[in-house]
Amino acid sequence: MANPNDDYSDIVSRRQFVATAGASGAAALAGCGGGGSGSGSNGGDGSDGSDGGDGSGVIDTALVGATNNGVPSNLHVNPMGTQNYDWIAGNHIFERFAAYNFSTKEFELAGLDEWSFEETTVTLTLRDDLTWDTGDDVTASDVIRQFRLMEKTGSALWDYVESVEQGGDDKTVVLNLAEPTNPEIIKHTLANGDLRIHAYGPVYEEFVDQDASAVQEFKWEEDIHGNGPFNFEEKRDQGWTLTRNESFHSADNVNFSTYELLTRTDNTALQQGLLGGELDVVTSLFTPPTTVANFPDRVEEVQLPAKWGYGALFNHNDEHFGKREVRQAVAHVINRQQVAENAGPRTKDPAPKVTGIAPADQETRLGDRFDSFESYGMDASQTEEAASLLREAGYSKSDGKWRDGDGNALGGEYLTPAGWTDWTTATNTVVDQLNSFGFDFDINSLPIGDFFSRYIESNFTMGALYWLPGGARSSFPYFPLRWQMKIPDISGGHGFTEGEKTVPAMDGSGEMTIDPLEEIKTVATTQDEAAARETIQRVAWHHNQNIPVLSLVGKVDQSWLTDADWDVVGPDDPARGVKWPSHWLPKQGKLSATE
Amino acid sequence: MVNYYVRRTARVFVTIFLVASLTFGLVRLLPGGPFTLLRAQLLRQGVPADEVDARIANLQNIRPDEPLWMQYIDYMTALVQGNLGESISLGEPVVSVLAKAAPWTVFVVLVSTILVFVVGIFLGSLQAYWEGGRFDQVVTGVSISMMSLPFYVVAVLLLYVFAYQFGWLPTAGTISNSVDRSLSLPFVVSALKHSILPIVSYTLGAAGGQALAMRGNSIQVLGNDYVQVARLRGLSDGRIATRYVARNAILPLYTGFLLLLGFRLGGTVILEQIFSYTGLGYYMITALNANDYPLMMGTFLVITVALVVGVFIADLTYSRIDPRISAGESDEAY
Amino acid sequence: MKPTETDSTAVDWRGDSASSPDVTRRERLKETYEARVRTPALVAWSDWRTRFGLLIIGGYVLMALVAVLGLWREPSTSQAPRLLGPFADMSYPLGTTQSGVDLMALIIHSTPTILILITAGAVWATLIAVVIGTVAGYKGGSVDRGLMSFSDLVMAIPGLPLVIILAVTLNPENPVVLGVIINISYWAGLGRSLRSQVLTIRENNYVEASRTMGISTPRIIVKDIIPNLMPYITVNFVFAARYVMFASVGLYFLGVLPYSAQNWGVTLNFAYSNGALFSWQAAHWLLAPMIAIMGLSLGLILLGQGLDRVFNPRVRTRMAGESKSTVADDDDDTVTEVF
Repeated sequence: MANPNDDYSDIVSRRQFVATAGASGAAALAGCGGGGSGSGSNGGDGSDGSDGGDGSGVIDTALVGATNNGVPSNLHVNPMGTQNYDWIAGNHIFERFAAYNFSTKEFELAGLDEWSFEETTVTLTLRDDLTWDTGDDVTASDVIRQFRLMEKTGSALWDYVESVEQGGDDKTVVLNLAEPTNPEIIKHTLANGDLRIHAYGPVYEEFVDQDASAVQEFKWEEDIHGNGPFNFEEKRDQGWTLTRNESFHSADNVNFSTYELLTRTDNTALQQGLLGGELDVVTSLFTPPTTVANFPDRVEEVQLPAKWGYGALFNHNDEHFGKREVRQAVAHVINRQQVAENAGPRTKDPAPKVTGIAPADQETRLGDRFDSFESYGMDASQTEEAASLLREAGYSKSDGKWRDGDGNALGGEYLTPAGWTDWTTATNTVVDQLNSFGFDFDINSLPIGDFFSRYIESNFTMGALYWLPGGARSSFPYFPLRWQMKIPDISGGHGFTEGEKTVPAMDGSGEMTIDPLEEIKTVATTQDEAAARETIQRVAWHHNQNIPVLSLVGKVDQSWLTDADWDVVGPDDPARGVKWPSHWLPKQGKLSATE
Repeated sequence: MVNYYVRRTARVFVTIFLVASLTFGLVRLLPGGPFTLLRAQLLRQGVPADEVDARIANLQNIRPDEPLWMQYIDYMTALVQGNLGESISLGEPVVSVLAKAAPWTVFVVLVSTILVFVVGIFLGSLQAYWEGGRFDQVVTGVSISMMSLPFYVVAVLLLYVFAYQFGWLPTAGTISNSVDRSLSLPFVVSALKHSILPIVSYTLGAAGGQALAMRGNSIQVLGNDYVQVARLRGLSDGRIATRYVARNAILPLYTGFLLLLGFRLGGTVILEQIFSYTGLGYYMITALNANDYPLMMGTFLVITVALVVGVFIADLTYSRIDPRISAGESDEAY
Repeated sequence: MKPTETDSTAVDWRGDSASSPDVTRRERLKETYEARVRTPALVAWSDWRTRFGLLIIGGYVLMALVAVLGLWREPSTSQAPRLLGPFADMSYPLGTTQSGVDLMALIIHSTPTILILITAGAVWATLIAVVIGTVAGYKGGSVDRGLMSFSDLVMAIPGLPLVIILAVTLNPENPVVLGVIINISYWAGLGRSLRSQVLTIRENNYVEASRTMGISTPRIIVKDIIPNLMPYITVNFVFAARYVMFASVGLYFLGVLPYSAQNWGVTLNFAYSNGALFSWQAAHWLLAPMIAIMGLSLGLILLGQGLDRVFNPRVRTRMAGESKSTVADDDDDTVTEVF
């Protein structure tokens, strides 16, 4: 920090490199990461590399992270608890089934040794050495207990699964599917961000015969036993203390004794923690570029796509914004590049095309057809196109505002959630752009509860809402494309109607009729990849033309590591592509204490 | 005499009762149900919406909505038994949450308020003593500039300098994670280190104001007949300063203490947020964001009780210092 | 401080200057003007703090005018390069924010709202305090007890938490409403100290006289009592205004208050959460609103301090070169509220 100006260019260039490797270097890396499906090969790497001295001892030092989920003494580690489950701690205590790697775009197995998919059965085989910290094996019946509980709580897995049973031995679980299901959907469901193997018999057995609310109300604060790399030691107002789990299957990979998670509720406090060296890792933290530039050398940023981001929601029941031309005009006017740069350069990706596919996945998913999709001017306000669309729809401009036949200005309230500062900036930018074109919008910033209620009650004209549901599953277009039509988060309050729609044909000549909701459903049940691909492109085209939700920018999650006292794998290692590096890397032996 | 104390004590309870009723009503006017924030959080975590709704429906089932008057009676009855209900967002008894939080707030507010008085009175009387001199001018200038900075701006600036730039003091929390929560030396040291910045930022501006007020009062008292008479009688300066001036200049400040305490307890809402200091104000905002009615009412009530008790103590002690108060006619003079 | 004295009940705020029945109406007017307006104003003006304070506040009023008359561009995103430093480009003298908003425009266009806000809050607080304080003090008895119990109750409610709940409940975007809400309970303390002043004023001969002449209570309060409290009221008006500003900016900073347009507090919040604290490139974003807040409160404090001289009898008499004042040597006054 002595010479911040000198360091600056250095940091930026290195970080940019990391970012590039993380986000788009995927293709190059796919080869090396994808080969060994998961932990088998990774585990080997770790133990061979650094374990020579480990037999004699583990270094008595603490890796210090942070939780921003509240005050730990109020939190617990029951992953099924509706409230106050601290996933940042829980994810260390429990092993996951599998994980999705955002770099390689492949799944990696963790607690599972193998998964296999047939027509209507899925067979899961647990790792032989997966044990609870008591030394007992994690068995098929533990997993079946967990799935039964998940059935009670309405987990998404049970949208596809009809029953579960034990397989040939006590490490094998068989899922019977209701109908043939696209394996990618099941994989995404099992590898979903925070799903962990947690149903420890002595604790969870009693909930199997009770109502779902019993397990959802349960606060697991005592007699905590997990199967992950770290054991629960203690929790207080100031943080969690976790200790190395000796009986973890890859315990050799972990060469330090303690993992602390300090309470830091405020982004600024977390940023300061990294800046001042108080924190070694931060799971996920938005950090503005000026702050990043001031981070010392030891701080490393890992950028990962959030598959989530700022979009604009229309009320399809509105007499104006229910019209396709008006929605298209809005899309033309908004300069997505500018929105991204104002709200968070480096951490916001403008969507190249307006459709329900995450920005980074659009080219691969749309293939040759990518170019024919309408871009609506990603980095420009295409006011002429917008104006001609509005005139076509019967609007005219007077006194600087676009008006309908009765002279009413086109606009209204634009809702935005209070307290999400980067969103507020995006909203300011969008509304400024729309108003300078001649719409007449006022920003209404509402507390989060009010904000969602207005959408659920369909009491709005236009507003901000994420346009992708988030999580690794959003990288499979089936989820976001379907989500954009249903938006269960707001109970479908945007009023997008089901049924057939007519849009221009994909090849540019004539029209095509499509029932997007029915069509996308077929993707869930097909195991024919080519057919799924074709359907996804057709529905994506519909979204591109009809705009159920306006895609604007994708968010990039920032995860933070430090390498002053820790050996961290280089930026080109695909293991960094699993969320979250602060959880995944230590147990892979890719983040260890320097000796 | 007895009458005064009885009436004064009765007023404490009436006040608490009324404030409890008021908060009960107010809090229910808040927009949005208690689970809207939770819902948004779970959605953001990537839990599918249907699952989130199912989970929240389960939460609501166990807390059916009773009619308002029933809730009121339940609430008040529970309150009498010292039960503030269960926090919706934390799933813990409000009392136990606040019992952990209150000492920190009381500590910070009390220490800083005492400092405000000590520093203010000390500086103010010196200023009055050297009225118009260089010291007076400098201190007045500094006081006025400190007063024009809101404490949260001071807090942010101090945080920047002492915690972010130099790293001398911690940035957040009440004590460090590695310290045992028992009354030991490391605990005290750690607690003090964490409280320095909140206390200092909460003291500076207010102390400046207090110094100016003390200065004004002292100058006024110095001009009074009895001081002149005392001087003519040839009493020593020291004696005049302590016997006449200090006493008569401090008394009015003492009544101001009541008002000050109220403002300062309320102000912790902002202060504790900046330092992530898990006291009452911190939980107040947490509860507000989560629409956690019981926790919010509880916090509000505990802050009120702290204030009412503080005022009560100040009143009683004041009546000892200034005998006119309890003597009779002017027993409600302030 | 405009006197409304046109009545036969001549009143001098110093009370002892005789109101002889044979002076003409004009002379009386003139005398009142001298005593009530000119002398205090002169005393106040003679203090550099008053002059300086008024100058600063005048500057802010000017800024508000600039905004109202549209002499400076409206703040808008992407109107300028992002994060431009201050004075780097003189068309954006204070620099710009992360989203390319001219900070100068932000500061200027927030001024009218802030001024309305603090005026509304201060007027509300002092008005209620004056009504309650004078009525209670003058009437005494059960009216006094009732009103004072009520203000004690209000004083027992911690200010900011109440304001937060009210703000979230009512979602006020109108600055007048917001100002009133912020000072919803501020009057209680002020009302109490006004009352105790009234208690002493009430005992003065001329008030007794008015009373024996059968003049109605509201009239006595307005004609005889309030004018004597005016300096004290003015000083506290200024402090109430400062409190509104501190509290409102603080709550905007916390993100508790709703807003549709940016203001100093919101800007502070944005700058803070966008890491302006950690880097020099963005520091101006944080400093600009801070300085705006400081400046206005400095102006208000200086004005308050200057006016305080009018109120503080010893200082006043010395300054005005008059004989010793007879303003009641009340024993609980000048409680400088400190936020």
